[in-house]
Amino acid sequence: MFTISFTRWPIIGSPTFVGLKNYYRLLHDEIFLKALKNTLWYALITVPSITSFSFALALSLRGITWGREFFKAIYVFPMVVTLVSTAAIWKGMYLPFGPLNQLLVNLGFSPVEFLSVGLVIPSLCLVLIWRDIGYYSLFFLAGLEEIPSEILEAATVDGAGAFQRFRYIIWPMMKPVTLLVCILVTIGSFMIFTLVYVITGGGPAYSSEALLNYIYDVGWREFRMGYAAASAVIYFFILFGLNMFERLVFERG
Amino acid sequence: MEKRILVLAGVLLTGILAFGTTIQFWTCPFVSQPENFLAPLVEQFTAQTGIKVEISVVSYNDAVVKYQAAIAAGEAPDIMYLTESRFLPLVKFGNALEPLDKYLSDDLRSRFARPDLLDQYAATAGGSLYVVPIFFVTYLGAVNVDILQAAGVPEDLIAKMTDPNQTYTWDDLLHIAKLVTKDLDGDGKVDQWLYAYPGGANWTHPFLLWYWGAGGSPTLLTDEGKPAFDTEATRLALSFLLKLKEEGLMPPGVGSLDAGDAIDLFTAEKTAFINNVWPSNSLKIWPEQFPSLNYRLVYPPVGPTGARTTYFGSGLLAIARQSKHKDEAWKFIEFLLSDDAQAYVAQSYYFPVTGKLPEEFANDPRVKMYYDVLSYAIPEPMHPAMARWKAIYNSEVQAVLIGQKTPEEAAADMQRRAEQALEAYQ
Repeated sequence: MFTISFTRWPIIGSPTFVGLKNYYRLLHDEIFLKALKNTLWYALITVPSITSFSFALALSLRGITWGREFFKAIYVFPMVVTLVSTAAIWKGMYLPFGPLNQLLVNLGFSPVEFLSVGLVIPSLCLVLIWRDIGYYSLFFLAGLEEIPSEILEAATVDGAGAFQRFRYIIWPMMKPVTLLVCILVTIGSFMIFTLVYVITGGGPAYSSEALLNYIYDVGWREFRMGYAAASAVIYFFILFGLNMFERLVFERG
Repeated sequence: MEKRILVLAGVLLTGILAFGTTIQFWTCPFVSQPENFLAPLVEQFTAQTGIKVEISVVSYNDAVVKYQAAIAAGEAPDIMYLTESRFLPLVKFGNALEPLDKYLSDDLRSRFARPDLLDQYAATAGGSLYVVPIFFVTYLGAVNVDILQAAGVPEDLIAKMTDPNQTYTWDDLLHIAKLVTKDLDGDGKVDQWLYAYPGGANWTHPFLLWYWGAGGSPTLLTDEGKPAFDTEATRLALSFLLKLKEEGLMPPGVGSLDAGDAIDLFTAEKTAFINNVWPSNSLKIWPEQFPSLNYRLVYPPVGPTGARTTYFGSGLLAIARQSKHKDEAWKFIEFLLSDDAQAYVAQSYYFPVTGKLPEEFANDPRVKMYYDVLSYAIPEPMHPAMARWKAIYNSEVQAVLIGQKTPEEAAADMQRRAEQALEAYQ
């Protein structure tokens, strides 16, 4: 891929070496820059949301004994459905005359254009959050169950409240799991391709275009494999950098 | 004598070699299950020739992607279904299609209703013919008669829309839009409109129907070969759509609607007019699925510059240059162009390119309307950059519909981006 990024290659035939031309063009490509910005937004919204909600869900699941397995199954269910089906269902939900707007109207509110420029990214993130929190809560739940109950009991006996137990025992012991979830969600948010492809096609006016969709369009719809490869290289380094940053934050924190 | 024996032996040998051959045919879903629809034809062809045909279905959206990947992997299907805007990239990049000139006999060529199209396909691909059509469609509009009548649209205006010898204009549409746009249930919110532009669809034709109607270039090119987007036609088309949007004559969210949603709004009787109705929808699917939908097919409106146009699309077949069974593949294409096969394909409401329409269709006045527009219907533009141009003009229309750009800005940006895109293909 790295080698191809220095070529012009319409997939059939031989690549032609073009040096850094693809990279230079990318830096001046308004659609690429928009897709990059959008992708960072997807990550910025979904990483803290999914991580905190799934952590909270795991904490609440840990607190119940009756029906825990049932709730676990319910929360993980969205992950079992194929993403294309999920996207198609949510696309219907978000339509101007779809069920969500019908519900809002019935409740006396005005209909909302969920897929308008201002709301399209949060709307797509909502699908990702809805789909993923149950799944990632299992990671946290597994981590929570690794914490020896004696430590928590001893802290309680010593007078530690719920917040203090969380702050001084649970959180430090859950850091490795949280880091793992953060990294996985970051990667997931960068791979938002299917939702964008099915629900908005990147629109309106590229306001939901993600980097992966851009790479796909450039490579497979426009047959500019060299250019797509250059975009993919940048995509890789940004994702790698973000993951390193997350690691650093957790190690130092 | 010896020569005759040799010819006979050659024919026999070819027949024996072809017998038992299997050709791969990748098609797009021009009907809901093309493999089932084409099965009787394949069966008949196999019985006649001994050549088997395996059909795989690829979506319209991903057809070229799949073909490119297969070609790159050396696994190209023998026959590929394409459209006007989809075949040139395969010719231009990698010379992946087999020229068909040597296969197409004069007799067969003379049977095409529009042989000029074959010349056009050849001319745009540098002189050789790489695709042959097996059917065509044109687009008409449709109006919901109940909505129009209830809104007080004059009968003579509705009659003008359905009469090939009369015309109606964009201004007439605007007038009708104001009449039909209503709050039906009295809740203070409008719930019926004239038309929903599918602003979220990355399809070829929705914008072009308005652009051509405003006098836009049929090929999307100027006489100098430059993209023809920063033009009066683009500005007129965008201004008209913006006017409908700004005056509340289109439903909310049109900037994100895909083409299917726009059709759904018409069949759900939320909108009263639609301008991209292909025959299978209006003649088969709607009567079956929406028996209470009281619609009437209408001719295209006349645009502000006096142009009246619509869309002409074909189902094209090509043979891959990689194919090891080119002769057998051509035999199948030839078979599909036979009178019987063409009459069978017409049952899917795609019209024959050779031969005649079956009697039951030929006498249908609605089918006649689709044929009436042939004289001014414009084929899908053929250009290797079409995939990019399509994405560019659709995103700029979206930008206008969501209020990000004025028609003038969008037209200028379309031009700039289309020219940049063109550089990659030169």
